Amino acid sequence: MRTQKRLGKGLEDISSVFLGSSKSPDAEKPFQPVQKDNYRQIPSRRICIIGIDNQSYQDFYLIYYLANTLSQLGIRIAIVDLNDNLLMTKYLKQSRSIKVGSSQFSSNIFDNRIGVKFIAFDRNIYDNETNIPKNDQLITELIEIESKADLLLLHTDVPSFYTLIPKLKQSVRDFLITHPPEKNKLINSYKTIKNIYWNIPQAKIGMIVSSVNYFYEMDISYKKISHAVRKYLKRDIFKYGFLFRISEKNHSTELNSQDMDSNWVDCLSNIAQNIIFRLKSDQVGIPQDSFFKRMLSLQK
Amino acid sequence: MTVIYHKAPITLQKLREIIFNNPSSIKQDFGILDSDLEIEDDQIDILGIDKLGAAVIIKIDKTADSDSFISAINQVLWLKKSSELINRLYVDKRIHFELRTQLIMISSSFSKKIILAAQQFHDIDIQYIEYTYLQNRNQDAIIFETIFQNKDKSSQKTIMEEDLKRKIILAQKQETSVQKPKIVISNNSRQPKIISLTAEEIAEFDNFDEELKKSRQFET
Repeated sequence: MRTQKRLGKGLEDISSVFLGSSKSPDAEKPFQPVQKDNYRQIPSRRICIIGIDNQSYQDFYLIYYLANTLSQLGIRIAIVDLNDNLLMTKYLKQSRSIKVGSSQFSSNIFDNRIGVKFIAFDRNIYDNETNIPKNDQLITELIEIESKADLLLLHTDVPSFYTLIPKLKQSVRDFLITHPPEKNKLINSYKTIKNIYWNIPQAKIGMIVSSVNYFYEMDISYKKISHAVRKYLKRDIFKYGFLFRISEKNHSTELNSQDMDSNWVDCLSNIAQNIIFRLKSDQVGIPQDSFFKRMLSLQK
Repeated sequence: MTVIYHKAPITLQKLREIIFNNPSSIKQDFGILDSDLEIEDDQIDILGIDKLGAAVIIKIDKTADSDSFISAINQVLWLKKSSELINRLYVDKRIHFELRTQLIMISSSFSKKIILAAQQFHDIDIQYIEYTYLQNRNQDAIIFETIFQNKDKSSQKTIMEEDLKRKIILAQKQETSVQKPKIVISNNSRQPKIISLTAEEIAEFDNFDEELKKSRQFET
């Protein structure tokens, strides 16, 4: 039997959720679909995950499993792919575990078997200035998804992030940056942090070191970045955890966590716990505006 | 050794970057709440809050004339008018609007007219800071000099040379070796500002590979 690990101080291991163990009470609890009229009174939280290692499948794994886990813990999740080329959507659609076509707008909104919504935010369709007329039903569906969701998990790569700054500025406060322990990626990560603080001074930024081979790589990476952020930007960043490198043999498009390395699962579990902890502990400063209304320029 | 500098021009963007990265050089115990805040027909360059909770507006211009002064006063009035909205927007740090709003104008020169005009305002703390940008082959520097403030009732006129508050920021000349990310600008969004890194910031990461190597040797 696999021993339960404690990776975060004082946080319980919930890795059984990732492994889909039948012994886990959380995993047994079936996902309860939200009633049609059960709209939220408070705005959904948004976390924007920025992948420094552009379009890495490791990031897609992270987001997919993170969303599944949080969903199984009762948090209503919607994943929004904000990448210019929608690579995450293309990648996730390859998996058989995702039901394509559950929505009326099958090419843009789809969900998986436990009810996590996936939204491919194709800016060519939504952009105000394009000649393509706005689809009112599609917009209504997006706003409805947001009103029911507890958390919007946004994903973007760095180039897309820079173009989205004016819109994210008004609607997102929590950012998570993932980067591998490589010097140039670290510099790029620091530059992204600097640009976030420059544009969104109220932002709260967390860091995940991905593709780690040895534990010390995470430690040195975090120390480097946090030291530079403190020294030059006079700010702090939050440590969310790290992810071991997914070996090629485990990298499949089936997205089956049963085959994943247990260390990787533990890392993911730790990150999920930190997110839950942050969501529960920090309720101030949440933008009240609708994320999609901002993105669609329906709200100024 | 005496370091020789020459006066040089500076772009507004770079000036703003310096101020943003060194807010304490403008004002002690001052926190930035937002930048480029769009308001009715205008834009607040930097909105901040001091340690007592008073609102601070910073207006940055190449040269400060009557127009920029009127614009700054309008910004202060807008802020007072929109106190409820502001406190709803920035719930982290609540601005106490009962305290006097502080207006800091930063420019390379100030016209006599606006110095005289500022003396007539008694319910806004107005401070004029003149900047001088200097350069040599290896380094650049900026001097911030308070040339006027109406905070003390005793000092309603321009303060004298010996009382000038001088602050100098020295920085390595910017050498950006990081490749700029691709920028795709959608038609309807304002062009985002991408802030580059200074050579000093990049140098922070210089020994990263060595540290990794050392740790690897230690592990094995």
